[in-house]
Amino acid sequence: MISTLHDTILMVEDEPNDVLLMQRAFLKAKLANPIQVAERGETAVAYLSGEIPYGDRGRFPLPALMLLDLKLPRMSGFEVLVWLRQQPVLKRLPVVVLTSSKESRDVNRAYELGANSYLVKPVDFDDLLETAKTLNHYWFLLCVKPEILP
Amino acid sequence: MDEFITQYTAALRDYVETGGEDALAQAYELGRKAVGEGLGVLEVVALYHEGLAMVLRGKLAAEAPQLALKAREFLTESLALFEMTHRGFREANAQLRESNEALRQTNAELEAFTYTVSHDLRAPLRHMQGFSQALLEDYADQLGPIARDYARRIANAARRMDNLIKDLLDYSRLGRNLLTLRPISLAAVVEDVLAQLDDEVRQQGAKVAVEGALPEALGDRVTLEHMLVNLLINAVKFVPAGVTPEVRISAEERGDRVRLWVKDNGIGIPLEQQDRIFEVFRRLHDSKSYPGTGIGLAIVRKGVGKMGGSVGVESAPGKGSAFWIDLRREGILDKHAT
Repeated sequence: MISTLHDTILMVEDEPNDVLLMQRAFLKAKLANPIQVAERGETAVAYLSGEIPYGDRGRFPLPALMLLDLKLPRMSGFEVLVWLRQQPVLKRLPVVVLTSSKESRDVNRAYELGANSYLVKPVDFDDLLETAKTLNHYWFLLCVKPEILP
Repeated sequence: MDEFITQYTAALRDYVETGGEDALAQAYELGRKAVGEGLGVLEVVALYHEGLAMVLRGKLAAEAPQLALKAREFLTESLALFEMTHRGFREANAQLRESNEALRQTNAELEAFTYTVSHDLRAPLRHMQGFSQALLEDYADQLGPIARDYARRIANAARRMDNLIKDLLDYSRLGRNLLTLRPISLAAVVEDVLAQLDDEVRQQGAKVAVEGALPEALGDRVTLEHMLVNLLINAVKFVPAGVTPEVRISAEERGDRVRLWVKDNGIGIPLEQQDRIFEVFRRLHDSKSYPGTGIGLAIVRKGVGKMGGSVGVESAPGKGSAFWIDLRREGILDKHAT
């Protein structure tokens, strides 16, 4: 088993401010895992498929967890989920939706499409920090994760 | 009714035998009368058949088809009003369908709007709050006390704005959703709400007591919890400085209703303001002495309305306030239930 510390998180987020704040929260939460950012749904798909320029798995390792925003330009988070759950092995990848919508329509749909968890971006940075700590604790310390290497 | 039958038969015979326009006009009048008497199309047609049989009695068989054909004009004329009414219904129906469709579209647009508000308007607030806090945490030693105060104010303003948006969203969601009413235990709801508000109650050093048994009522649990949270937050918030908030929750059965009381020892509300406090954004105090968004009681009123109940307050300045919510009781049907 690969060391948990080096498990990559793939953050699918188009809003640079949110990326910056999440990175800061992870840093403050002492989360050492490398974070890769995909700003588009299409980019996330390319990254996960190992398409150019993400072919080098040394530089762009398969993530152990995907943080997925739902509202993205063009290919939405929902569509990324649908695509992911259709992939032969990759479909096991745990997905945590991290979005600003609390509408039950979105929540229900995300779970229907196979999200493993659904979190709402908190306004307060302290709450975001708590979210980052809890994510770390649950997904990287407690949770047994599937194999996703083909 | 008998008179009507006689008139109808006479007019029919008149028309078939002499063919006068007057008789045809009378057919229309008789049709109007039939509508007025509450007769249906089938009843008029039955009358017509009886009348026609009488008219044809004693006539030559060879004449009959022609006479019957003429009699049909009479029938058509006497049913003209029915036909028009029917057409009126059809048109009204079509119009109803059209306006329903328009409403559905407006609703969809409103939903899209709410979605945008929840999603897009809150994002910049998160960023304002997050980065001003980052300034405070990472660069505190490089900022003077005034600069630190400014950064804190930015963070607080963003937080306030976010609360406002959250409350507005709740309010509009209440307006859109249809509630399914089920029997719920008020005791269980109050217990849950008090657990939710544990922190707030402790912070204010408030005493909250449930007096007597709380019965069941018909309602939507989530909405009722939401309403109670708002009432209780107000009850512990609006107290004079230095006074320990004391809140008493009780219930009484009143005919087909259950009245849930939330009584406080707060500053009270002048009579002339007691209706207005349930309006959206209605605030009686500046945000410095009693912070809030001014939506809480509007949510209570909208929620209780959705459950076929009502809300009110008994209060006087300095005498505390007693808010009540009337809910329908399980198993007792009234006009709201259908």
